Amino acid sequence: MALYFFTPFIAIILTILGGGIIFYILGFNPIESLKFYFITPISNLYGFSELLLKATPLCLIAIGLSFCFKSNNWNIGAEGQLTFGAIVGGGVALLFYNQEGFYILPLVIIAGAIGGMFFALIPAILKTYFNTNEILVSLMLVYVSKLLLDYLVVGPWSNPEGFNFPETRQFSDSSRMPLLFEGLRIHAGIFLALAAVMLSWFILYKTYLGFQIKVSGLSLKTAKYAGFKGKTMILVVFMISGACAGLAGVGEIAGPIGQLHRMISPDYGFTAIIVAFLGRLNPFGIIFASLVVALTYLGAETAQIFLQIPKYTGQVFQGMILFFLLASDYLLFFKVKILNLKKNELRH
Amino acid sequence: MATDLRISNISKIYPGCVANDNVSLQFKSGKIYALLGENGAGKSTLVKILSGVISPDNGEVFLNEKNLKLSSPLDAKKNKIGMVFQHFNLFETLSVFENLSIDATEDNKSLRVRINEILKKYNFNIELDVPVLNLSAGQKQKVEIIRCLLRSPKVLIMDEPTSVLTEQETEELFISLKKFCGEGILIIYITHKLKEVLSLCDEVAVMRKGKVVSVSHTQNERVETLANKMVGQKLAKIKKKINISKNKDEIFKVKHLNFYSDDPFETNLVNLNFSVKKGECLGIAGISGNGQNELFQILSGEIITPDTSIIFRNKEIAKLNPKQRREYLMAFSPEDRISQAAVPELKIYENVALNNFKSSNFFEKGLVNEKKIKEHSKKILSDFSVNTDNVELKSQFLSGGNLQKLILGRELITAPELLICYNPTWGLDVGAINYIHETLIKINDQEKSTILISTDTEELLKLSDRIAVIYKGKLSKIMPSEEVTPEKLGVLMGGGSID
Amino acid sequence: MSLDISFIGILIGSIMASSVPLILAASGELITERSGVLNLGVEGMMIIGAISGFALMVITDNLFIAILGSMLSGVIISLIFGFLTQSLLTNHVATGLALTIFGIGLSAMLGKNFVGIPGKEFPILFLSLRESIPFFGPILFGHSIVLYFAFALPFLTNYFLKKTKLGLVVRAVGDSPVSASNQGINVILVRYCCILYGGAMCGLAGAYLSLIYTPQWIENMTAGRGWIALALVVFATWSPIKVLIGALIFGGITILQLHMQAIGFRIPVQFLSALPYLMTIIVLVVISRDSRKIKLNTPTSLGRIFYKEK
Repeated sequence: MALYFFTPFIAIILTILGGGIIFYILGFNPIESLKFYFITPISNLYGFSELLLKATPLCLIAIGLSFCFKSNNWNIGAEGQLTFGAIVGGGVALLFYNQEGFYILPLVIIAGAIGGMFFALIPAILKTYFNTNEILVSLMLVYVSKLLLDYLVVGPWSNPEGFNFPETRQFSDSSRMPLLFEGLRIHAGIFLALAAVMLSWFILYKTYLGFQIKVSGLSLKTAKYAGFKGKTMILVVFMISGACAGLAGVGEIAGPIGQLHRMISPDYGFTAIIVAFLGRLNPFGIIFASLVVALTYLGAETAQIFLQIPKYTGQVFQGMILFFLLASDYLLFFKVKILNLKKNELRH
Repeated sequence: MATDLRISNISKIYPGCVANDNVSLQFKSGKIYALLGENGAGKSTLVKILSGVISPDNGEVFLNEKNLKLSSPLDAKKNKIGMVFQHFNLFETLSVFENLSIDATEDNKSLRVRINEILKKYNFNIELDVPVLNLSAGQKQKVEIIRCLLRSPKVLIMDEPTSVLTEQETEELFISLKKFCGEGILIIYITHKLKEVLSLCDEVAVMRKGKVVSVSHTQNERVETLANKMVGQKLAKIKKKINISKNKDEIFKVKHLNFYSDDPFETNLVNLNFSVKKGECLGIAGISGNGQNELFQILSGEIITPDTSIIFRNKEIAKLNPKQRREYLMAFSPEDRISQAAVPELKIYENVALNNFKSSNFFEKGLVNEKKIKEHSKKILSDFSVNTDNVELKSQFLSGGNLQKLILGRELITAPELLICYNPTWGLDVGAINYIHETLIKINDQEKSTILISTDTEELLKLSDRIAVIYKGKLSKIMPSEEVTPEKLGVLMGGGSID
Repeated sequence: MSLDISFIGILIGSIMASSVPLILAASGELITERSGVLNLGVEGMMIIGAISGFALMVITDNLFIAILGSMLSGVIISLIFGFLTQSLLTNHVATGLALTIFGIGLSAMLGKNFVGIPGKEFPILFLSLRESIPFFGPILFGHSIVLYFAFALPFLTNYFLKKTKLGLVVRAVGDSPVSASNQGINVILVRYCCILYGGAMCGLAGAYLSLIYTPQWIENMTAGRGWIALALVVFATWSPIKVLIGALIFGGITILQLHMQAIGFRIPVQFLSALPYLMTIIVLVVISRDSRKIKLNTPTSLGRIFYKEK
């Protein structure tokens, strides 16, 4: 058990070492580069707030995904659910583009959550009633949603005064997430993420639903024996997951972005899968993991400025973290496997 | 050329169980040998060793006095040992011909010619270019046999070959096997079916608890003598007092229980009808794989079958799921205690919460009432003498006996009117078995009923008031246990009939 | 009229060119999936192939080495996936995703010094025939050798799977690794080979983009084609010939939307682009409803971890 929560740290350390080696091979000073990556970005208040800003959607999505993954449902289309949530939430915000009112932001947020939830229901329903593989369906829908967004911002929703730029009008201030500090981009969306953490902790560990999710993930046979409603549960975890991703999408467009355009998410929905794994599907683990992974985004931006390394390099670290984490799980897996083998042999 | 296969001092030990204990046997070609035994007697382990799937801890195998190194299935193949497993090793989506050609060394044209020769010679009617998926179980088995024959085997091992076959297919198989035998192939036939041994085989080796207990010619044996050897001399029974009087109420009544499955490895159940009286223990005997799994799941509500009527305490419950049935005061203890009745990664108190019945208040308004569950778990641990009082312990750290006590305790704490258990004592030590048995007797003493599905005849004779035998998905007539002897059970379990 | 016909010929020729990376990557992934391995790292392997091919071309000035090197780099990066999933028994989905993310990042890192360098002209075959024959000329001639290879590949793959012993072994492993292992087939080895082959084809697909289709290096230049290739394999229900047809449809949609944009056609092109994904979902639903159909059409053990009992 201790090992289970310890291996993520090993993975992080190995990733940093691996990153250093890659920098060295590419002709950079590894120590210097790593400093630009992991220390410089958060050495001032602005940097730290940017870290929280990027960790917010990652954390939200990963929290949602943890419900799916815990119960053995492979929703890998969070990016699509985020996009669709942003579309629905953004649509509501655009309805009120020239109005002000305290009620607008809640409406936008709720619309986003519902949008994400609806979009996640598609693979869930196809899985429960048509036996379709949820991995492939949720993945395909990512591209459908991105193309829909593209259509909207180019076509019907494009800003009439926007010189044909592929973007919508700016949202009114009432649709925007309140900023927490003057001059920093960190916004109230972080409270949504924290609320999601608390709520998910509560649901997963304190409710009958959470208990059922846990049991179903560990042993479907037992879930059946105990008389849990399997299909309903699949729908519920996908809805939770989709709602979280939708919220993350709304957080972005109503937060730092303030309008809809093509690039509302640098693949947060995919990266959040890494966050969920790195955080061991544990709500508090996910907070930690989202900060670590957000740092790779931020570090990549800093490195781009100071070292002229493309910002995509952040993904090298993200990929490596997951590689090393999965590899170090081998130890754990092997322990479990041996236990299972013993059982089988005893039986037959 | 005559074939001579000798197994010498084979042992295989798994943690907690000796699967093969110094097994030595000798086989000669031109005969069909039966290897007979109950579940867990060690037949399958021996067969797996002969086919190179697993390696023995000790001992050697000689074929015509050549010491064989069987460290992989390939080695067995090379040494001309053919093997037809109970669970087929076929590729369902590939065609019959592709299945046969995958390990062939010749070109497809001559292979096809040879296969057609075999089909003709043994009267097999199989299309070669359809996916195996489309074949019946009997046809699939023939494909497996052809696969062996293509390599001109010296030894052909058949592992429980008739468990998936119809009567007709069984007859056809026997005709083929006798033909092979006549052609000089040594045949080892693994089974627990007594009649098959007598009608097909020349010699029979009986295994019990990992040891060979007898080798004899089948002409000297009868169904009863074989049953006796297979089941073993039972200890003097401490039989419980039969406390059922004729006029007790029927508390549980099953009518027209039919189950049909597409999966050839599931057993279809054919029109089961039975009832259980108040305070009674109904035993259901049988070798495993004769429909017990399916029966248990239907009784617990994990499988819902249409048109079945299950009346419990005057209510129709056939459409209810396990949780709903629990509310009506039924309880279930499945065979797989390790990963079905409990989840090894969960803590004791979480495993207790799996039996979430309404009055338990484990979950109030959807919230976990941890305090309640823990209190309740503590009570189970002490009432059922589980050797820990730490409810936070993960159940994987409990020994089999303690785990079973926990599960029984969990199921019984609701004071159910009917407990259905399936092999409650497999793999447990004597102390735990006694405790479980006492518990089950106590339930009946308190005028509650039990259905005991078990492959352990001794246990059934000790605990049951009435006993029926399930064989190939059909239930024998239900007999009062004082009329039942181990021999009778053995005969019925092996597919024989009495009077 | 003759102008129209030659225009259609050119259009078909360009559709073929745009479908090449899809055919290559999907054919490679198809073999991988047929052995029961789901590698979601196609996009990552393609982009690594694209940058290595381009970089080698710039460094060695030799297109042959560049093409070969791109395939080799695809092999190397897929080896990471192979090692993790086959030797360390990691989850296929997570590992494949990590591979894609890693590949995109690494390619950008490697390609830092290659941005903006013009590509080299790739030799075109039968150029004179292309010009001289109307309609069929632009369709059949004037393409790179890689295009001809790509169009032959589905047929070769089909032949390999259906007619050769090795192809049979691959399908058997995908159908039932346990049975295959009991038959003495080295399941892990077969799967390794299929993963590496998939890597090589994805690498080649990437090189086609950076050396031939748009001869230059642009960050993230595969632009989701890897994911389309993945969809394509499902869309084709794991049949190589249908991969070819699907790739032409998917490629055709890409070209069509360019032309429609050019002539100001008002049907939203995004809906056309979304069509392949929606069709893939529909195909999935249709084959999944019937358990026999899905069994016959999908590699039964797809994405499952195989562990050999000792």
